[in-house]
Amino acid sequence: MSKVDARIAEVKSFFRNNDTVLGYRKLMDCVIDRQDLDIYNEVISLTDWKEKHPNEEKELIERSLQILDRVSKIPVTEYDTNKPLVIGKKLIKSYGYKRFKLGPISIKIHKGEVYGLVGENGNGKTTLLRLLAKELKHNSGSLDFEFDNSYDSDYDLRTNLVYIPQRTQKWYGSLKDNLKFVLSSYGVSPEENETRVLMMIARFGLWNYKHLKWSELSSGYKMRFELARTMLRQPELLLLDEPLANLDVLAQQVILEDLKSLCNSINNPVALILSSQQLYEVEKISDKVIYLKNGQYKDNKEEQVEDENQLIVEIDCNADREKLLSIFEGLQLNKLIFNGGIYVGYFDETTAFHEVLQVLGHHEIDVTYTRNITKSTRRFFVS
Amino acid sequence: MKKFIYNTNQYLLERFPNIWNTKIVWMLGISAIIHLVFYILGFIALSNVETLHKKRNVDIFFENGSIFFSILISILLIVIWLTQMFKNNGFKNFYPTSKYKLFLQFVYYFIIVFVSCTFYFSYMFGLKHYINLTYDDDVFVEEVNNANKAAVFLSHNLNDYMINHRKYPSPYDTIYCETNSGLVDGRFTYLEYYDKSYQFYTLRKEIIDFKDVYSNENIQKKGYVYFITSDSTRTYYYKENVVDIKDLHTSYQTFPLSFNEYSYEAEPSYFNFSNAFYKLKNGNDNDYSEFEFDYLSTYPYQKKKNSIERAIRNKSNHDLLLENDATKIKNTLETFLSYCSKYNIETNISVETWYNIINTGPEYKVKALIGQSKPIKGEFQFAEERTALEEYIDEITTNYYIKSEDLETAFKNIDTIKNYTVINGSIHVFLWIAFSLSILIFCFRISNLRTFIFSIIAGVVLFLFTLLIIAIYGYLVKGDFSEYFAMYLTLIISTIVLIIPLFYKDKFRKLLVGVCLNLTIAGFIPYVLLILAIITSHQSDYCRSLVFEERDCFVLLNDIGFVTTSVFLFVSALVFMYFYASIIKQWRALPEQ
Repeated sequence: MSKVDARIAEVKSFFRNNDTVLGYRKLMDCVIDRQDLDIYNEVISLTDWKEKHPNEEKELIERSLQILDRVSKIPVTEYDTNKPLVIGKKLIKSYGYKRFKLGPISIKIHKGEVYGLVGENGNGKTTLLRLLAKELKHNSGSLDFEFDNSYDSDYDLRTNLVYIPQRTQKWYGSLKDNLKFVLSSYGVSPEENETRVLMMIARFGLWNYKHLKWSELSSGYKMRFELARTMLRQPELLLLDEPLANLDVLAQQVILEDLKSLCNSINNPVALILSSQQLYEVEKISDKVIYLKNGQYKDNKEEQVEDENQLIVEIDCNADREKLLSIFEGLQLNKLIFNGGIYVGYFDETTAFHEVLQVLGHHEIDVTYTRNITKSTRRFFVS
Repeated sequence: MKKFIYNTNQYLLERFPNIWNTKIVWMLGISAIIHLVFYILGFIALSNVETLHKKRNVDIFFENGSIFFSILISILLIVIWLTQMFKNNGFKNFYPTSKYKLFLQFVYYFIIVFVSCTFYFSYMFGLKHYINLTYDDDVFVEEVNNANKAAVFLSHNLNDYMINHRKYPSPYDTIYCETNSGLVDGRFTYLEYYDKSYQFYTLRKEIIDFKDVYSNENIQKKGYVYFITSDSTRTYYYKENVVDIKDLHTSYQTFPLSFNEYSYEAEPSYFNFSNAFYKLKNGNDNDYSEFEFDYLSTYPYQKKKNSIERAIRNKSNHDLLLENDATKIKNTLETFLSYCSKYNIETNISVETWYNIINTGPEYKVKALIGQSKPIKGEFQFAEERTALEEYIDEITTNYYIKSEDLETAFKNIDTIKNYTVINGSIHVFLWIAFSLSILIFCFRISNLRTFIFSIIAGVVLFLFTLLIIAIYGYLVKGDFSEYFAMYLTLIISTIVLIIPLFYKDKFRKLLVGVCLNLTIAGFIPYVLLILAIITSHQSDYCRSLVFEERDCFVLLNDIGFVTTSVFLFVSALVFMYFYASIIKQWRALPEQ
């Protein structure tokens, strides 16, 4: 089954299992891939109907599947994501003598992939993003972009590099006008402008918020509008600095899922690099995690070599160290670190995570939180 | 209305993002309405005829508070526009744009600012249209002509009726009347009236080349009564022979004998009156023609014109008086009084009374005077000793009055406004105000607040630094070169500022390049002007070094004049902005650090 068919089948499956919210979002992704304005308009009117009839799920599914049928008949050319979009070689950025220095970093960014940029504050995440966005000039190394859209000036290059800083600017005037302004600036025809804007509004779940003012929006919706505006620019490279800051857990998940699926577009994929402190959420959607410490790049897979043959478990509980050491005696515990709030246990590779859970349960330890972080960059933060 | 605004906005937003973003359509619409309001204000400003009695109505915009209203509206408009326009900035967000679109943005700013600060012109158009509609050209000319005909009977000032004012018949228009008692030659015939003396002379000419005017011989030239300068010569006029008026009159057969009998008397007569009540500008937009050049004029054309005009008026008065037709004279007076009524001119005289004042016999001697304003009741004690003539004037001044000065002012106002060119040189002032403001707005739009403020500070610092260096140079080096030093130093500093964004933008921090970029945009016109000034200085110096005959050389700024310079600079500015837009784009794309 081709990737295209698999996507269609996935959406059908969601609807059959009554996962209408997710299914509807995935349907819209399939529609956006087709770039067919007639179907856009159908989805827009269905979205309008859906918001007016929130309880008529059955009809929504039926109408959605009808659209999906039409969508499945439109051929989509799959984009070749093997070619790297950005190639950075031995990039170094220094802020001056004896001041913070980032790199050397070598990096290859491909379209359709999500790169999670993690690290403690002050370790160069924003610097790396700004380097890639050409907001900062690297002191040495090379940085090349292989965009599909040709450009003949640095300004045109930067129109393809969409960087959203942590603190975004306030929007003035009508939200919809702001979105339409993007498209008209990019030369989208008047006939398509409204349709494309409404489609993106629908895709980011902003239908009922499109008439509000910026000041009336919560942080989550502000970020969604920001992303909607960004995606309208059809960027090839998207650089997001802490897009999840100030968002609740649910909003974080929704935004990450949205980003992931928009970046994985079949015919118009986007290379996405996002920095965040939400390790679990970022790792969940990222194809690759870039961990920065003191300006140095640590690849997740490289670091794993050091930590291989170990099971690393993070435990938050009210038991003291002696108690834990005694109960883990039979589990080949190599070391137990307490960082003030959380214990991190390093076990032999023969020990399985479920055995650790079993021991904790057996000794009735009041565990608030535990996680196997063997393959997570989380282990760099807690060690 | 709301729907119309929404639909228009959407139409513009989808098709012309630059136009939507700059709000130019709405700004032009609102400005057009305000221009219409100012037009109406101008139109009604002189609707009360008495306002015409006030001098220089053409400046009413500056005198009745309209200017403050206009400035207030302009500031409000521009501020509101800026708050609306600053809402979206595609350039800062790296939305695609071309140098042409960037240039267009600037042009839109300029148009908006220009239209928002030129309400003066609409006001003046209103004023002019009102005057043109209310006072028909032909009717107005007829009124002035009729007033000029009646002016001979406005015996306000006895001096206007003295013999020295006679310009008709010939050769009164060419001979010179000496009125200075000290210069009257007692050996020859002269006329007397009270303490005044009048002696007529023929004139002889001495013509010299203009280049010799300032020679040692000529510079101390004395004894002439006046001179006339033309392009290549200067003619000095000297008194030659005394003319006996009595002899003169008898030799003119066209003159009635009865007239001859009295004409050599110095007694004031209506026959002598040659002044105009009001002289039409006839398309001449300046006030110079209103000055009485007469014999003292050094401008041959005006002297000639004035002499001829006076002679014609004098003849016209003569003809009317010689006719001695009471009905005709009364009609003239009646017409004048009807204008007084039309223009609300204060008077207490009737046609009959007025006619009785002037009807003093066929010689039409002035035996009573009419006041120019309402007499103030009560007696006055004059501290100074009064001459016999002054006492006589008091004696013959009646209680009748006509505030003819108000009518003259009204005529002058109407005539001035009719001849006023609304779109005149002042448009260049507005043009450059609008240009400067739009440059500032553009600089702010393409850079950011930080760069913008730094640019202002850097501009001030550079200016003070240059002044300091010039002052030190001037103190240390004595000589005439400080002007050139100042100009060349400014040129060098400006050139450095200019070339940084052009050639070295990668070598410096973006902030510094941005400051230079803003200074270049704001300073380009002064830079071009500086180059022109340097060329002009060199040309002037070269010209001064030549001998006098060769001094007719080309000096750039002096010869091309203000308007040409202004137009040249403006076109240069537009061309510069168009090409510089690509440099602005390059700067915007530079990394921050």
